[in-house]
Amino acid sequence: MDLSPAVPWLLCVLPAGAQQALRPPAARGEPGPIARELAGKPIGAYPHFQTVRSLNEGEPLWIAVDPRSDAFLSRRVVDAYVLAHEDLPAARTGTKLGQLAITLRALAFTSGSIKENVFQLDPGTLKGTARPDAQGIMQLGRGYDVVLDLDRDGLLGAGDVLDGGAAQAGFHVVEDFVTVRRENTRETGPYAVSEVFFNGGTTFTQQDIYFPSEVAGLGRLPLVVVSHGNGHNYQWYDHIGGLLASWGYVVMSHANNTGPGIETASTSTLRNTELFLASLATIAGGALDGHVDDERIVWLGHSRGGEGVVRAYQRLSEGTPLATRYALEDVRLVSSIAPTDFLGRGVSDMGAAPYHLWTGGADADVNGCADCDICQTFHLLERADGTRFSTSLHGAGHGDFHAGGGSSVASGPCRIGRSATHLVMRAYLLPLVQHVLHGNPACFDYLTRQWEEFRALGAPDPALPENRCVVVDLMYVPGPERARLVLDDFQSQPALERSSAGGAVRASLGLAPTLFEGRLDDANGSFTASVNDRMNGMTLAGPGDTSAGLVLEWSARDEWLLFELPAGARDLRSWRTLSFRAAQSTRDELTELEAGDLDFAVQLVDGARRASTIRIGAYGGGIEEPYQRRGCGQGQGWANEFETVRIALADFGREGRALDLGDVVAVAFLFGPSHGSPAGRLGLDEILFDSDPRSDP
Amino acid sequence: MKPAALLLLAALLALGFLAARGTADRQAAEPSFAPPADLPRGGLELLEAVPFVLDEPFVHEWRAEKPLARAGFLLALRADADLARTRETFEPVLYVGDQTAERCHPVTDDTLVVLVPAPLGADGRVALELDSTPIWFGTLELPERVDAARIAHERALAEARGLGPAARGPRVRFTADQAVRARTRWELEPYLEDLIARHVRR
Repeated sequence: MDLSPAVPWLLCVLPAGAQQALRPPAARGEPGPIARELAGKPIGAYPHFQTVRSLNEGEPLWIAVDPRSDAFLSRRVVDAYVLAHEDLPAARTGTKLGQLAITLRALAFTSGSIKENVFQLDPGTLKGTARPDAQGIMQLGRGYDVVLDLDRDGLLGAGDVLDGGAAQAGFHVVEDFVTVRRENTRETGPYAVSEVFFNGGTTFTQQDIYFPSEVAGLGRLPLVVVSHGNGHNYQWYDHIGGLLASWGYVVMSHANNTGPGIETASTSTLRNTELFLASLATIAGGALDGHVDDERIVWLGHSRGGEGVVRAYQRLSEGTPLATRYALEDVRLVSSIAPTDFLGRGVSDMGAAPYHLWTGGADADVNGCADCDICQTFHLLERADGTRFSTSLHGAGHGDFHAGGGSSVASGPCRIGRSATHLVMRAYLLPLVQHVLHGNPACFDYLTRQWEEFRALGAPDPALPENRCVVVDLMYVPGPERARLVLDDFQSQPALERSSAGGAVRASLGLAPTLFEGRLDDANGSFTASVNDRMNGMTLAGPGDTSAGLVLEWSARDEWLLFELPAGARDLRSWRTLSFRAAQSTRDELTELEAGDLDFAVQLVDGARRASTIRIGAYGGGIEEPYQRRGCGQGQGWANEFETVRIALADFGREGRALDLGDVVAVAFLFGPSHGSPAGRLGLDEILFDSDPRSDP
Repeated sequence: MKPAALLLLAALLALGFLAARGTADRQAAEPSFAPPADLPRGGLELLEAVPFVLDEPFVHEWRAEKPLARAGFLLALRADADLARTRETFEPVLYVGDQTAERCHPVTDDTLVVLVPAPLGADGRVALELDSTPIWFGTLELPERVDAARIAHERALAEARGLGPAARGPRVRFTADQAVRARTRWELEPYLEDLIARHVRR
C-alpha cells in the first residue's frame, strides 16, 4: 500500500473519474508472450526494483516480478531463460529454449512483495562486446531477452512472460568503451586509428583527420567534424578523434577562424565540411574515398566554435553556397562544448536537429556568470527546437575539454582537470552519437540515468573518494519530433494556475505564495541571493529568449504542487516514463541549509482517487546542489544546474498499488519532511510523458 | 602535551598553512578572462614590423566590409597582457590607424603578432607610416562586426584619450624597404611563425 495519501485538494476538488476495472494482464495484447520489463536492479526504497535498458559488463543481471500487481505470477515456479536477442526469432518459432539459453534457472515466486521476488540470473558473465553493423561501425551493446516459461514446457508460448521483443532487446550489456585499449593512443574501441593531416591551401582549411586504419574493408562511415575555439588549435582533439575513429567513425578537426567572430567561425565549419567531402579522393591517398557517409554528419564545436556550429546549422537551413555536397538533413547532430552566445536569438539559433551541450562549472572564460549574457552556455540549448541533451561537469574548466595541454582556464573549488573531464566526455559522447545516428537502444540509459546511479565502465565513480569532485548533471528533453505528451513546459501557457496541457495547476497553501513562473533568466547580473530576483541563478534564457520555468520553495512543512491532466490526456498506458527537470536555486538560504542533493516525491493519482508515490531519491540520485564556486556576487554556489529525472510509469503500480494508468487525473510533486528534504528552493520545468525512442532515425 | 610535541604540531600546522596558501596562490595566479575595462587603451610597444606584398589578394575577415587586401604589415607588439590575452568572450579590438588588425596566434602573455592590411603606395611600398599611425585597443566587439564608421568612432575615442603610435622597442627591426613578397596569404604563414617564434614566449 502507498501510505502517502493523495493530496487533500484533490479529494475535494477533482471529480472522480470513471471507476475502471483493472485489466487482467493476459488480456492486454495479442495471444503470445506477456510483455514485462524484468531486467534491472534492486533498490532500497519503493518501488524496490529499477528496470533498466543497459547493464555494464560485469554487472549482475537481476530480474524481479511483482505478484501483488501480476497476480498470475503469484506462487508460481517458473523457468527463467536468458537468450541472446538474435536467438529470439528461433524461440518464437518453436526452438526449445534450452537449446538457446545462455542461462536457465528455476524460480519460485511468492505471493508477497516484489522485494521477495528479486532474483539474480547472472553474476556478471554476460558479454557486452560490440558488434559491427552493416557498415562496420561497432555498435555498443549486446542485446538479451529474458523469458519466464510459466508452463515449463521449454517453449516460448502464449502466457509466458517476455522481456524483449522484435523491435528491441529486453536489455543490453555494454563493454568498457572509456578505457584506452592501446598504450600511447586515445583508442577505446576495437579499431586501430590512423591520423593524417590535410592542407586545404589556406590558414583555415587545415584539417586533422582520424579514421579506422582498416577503413578499406569498411562501408560508409559517419563523419564527425570538430570546430575548435578561439585561441585553440585543430590538433587538440585527439581524445575525440581517437575515441570515435576506434569505433568506426571518421573525425575531421579543422582550423577554425574564430578570431573575427562567430560568422567567420561558422564559415570555417561549412567550408571545411564541404572541402573534406570534396577532397576524399586525395586525402590519405584516397583511402577514405567511398567510405564517408555524407548523409550522417555530426558537428561538434568548442567555445566560439561551439556557437559557430549552431550558426552554421542555421545558415545551412537558410541556404548557403558553401555547402553543395551536403544538406541540412545530413547534419544529424550538433554538439557544443562551452559555447559562447554572441549572436543571440534568431541568429545563433539551433534548428530542429538534435542538439547537445557541454558545460564546465569551473569555466573561467565562458563562465556562466549572470553578468555576462554571452558567457551563458545554456541559451543555445534552450533555443534548440528538437531533442536536447546536456552534460554539465562541476569543476571542469574551459581548457579541460581539449587535449592541447596548458591551463585548464578554470576557477572554483574541486577542479577535476583534463584527464577526468576526458573520461566523462568519452563516457557520454559515443553513446550520444550512437543514439542519435543509429538509434542504438543500448545507449539511451547512458544519456538519461543520473550519473551517480549509472555511468559507463571506466568512467569516474563519484562514490570513490578520489572522484568526489566528479559531479555530472545530465539533461534530456525529447523534442516534438519524438513521441511525448507535454504536461507543462511553462512557456506555452504562462498562467500560473494552468498547465501547458490545459489542466489546472494547484498548490498547497504554504507553497502557493512561493510559486513564480517566468523566464529562466537571472534578473540582476549577480548570483547573490535576493528576494527581488526570484529567478536568481537561472541562465537558461538570454535576451529575447522565451525559455521559462517555475520556482518554488518549502521549509519544514509538507507541501504539494499538483498538475491536473485534462480529459483526453489521462490515458498514460502508451507512455513509459514521467520526465521532468529540476535545479536547486543557488545561494538561497534554503539551498545552503540543505547542503546536498534535494529529494522529494512524485505522486500519480487516478480517477478513483488512488494514489501512488515515489521518492526521486529512490533511484540513487536527487537534484544536485550547485557547484560551490565563489564570485559573480556574494556567496557561494554557481548557476542553477538543471538535471532530468525520469521515472518509469510502471513503477507507480508496483506492490499491488491499484493505480489505473489508463485514467490518471493528476501528477503531484510532494515536498517537505515526509517526502524527502525538509527544505529547499527548486526550479522545475519540462514535465512530460514519453517513451524510449526505439527506431533508427 | 610535551613541548617537543607542541613544537612539532606547530611546525606541521605552519607547513599546512603554507601549503594551503601555496595552493591558493596558484589558483589566484590563473589569469583573468574577464573582459578588460577602461577602454580604449594604448601603451603598445612595437617590437618588429615586416611589410608584405602578395600577388593574390585575400579577404580581410577582421572587419565587417571584408575588404580584399594584398599588402600590409606583420607586427610584433608588446602590450598589457590583460588586453592582449586571447579570450572566447569579448576581446578589445586592436586598431592600427583606420584598419583593424588580425590576431595571428593565441596570446597568453604580453606579446602578440598581428597582421594589418594596408594599401600599396604609388612607389610600390606599403603605405602605412607606423611612426605616426595610432595603435590602440578599442572597446569590446567582434571584429567581424566593426565597419568604417565604428573605426572612425573608435579612433575619435582613442585620440580623445591621447593615444598615439606604438613606441619603438629598443631592438625594433623595421624593414619597410624589404617587403616580403609572396604569392598568397597562406605563404605568409612561415613569416608569421618566425615572428611568433622570436618574440612570443612559449
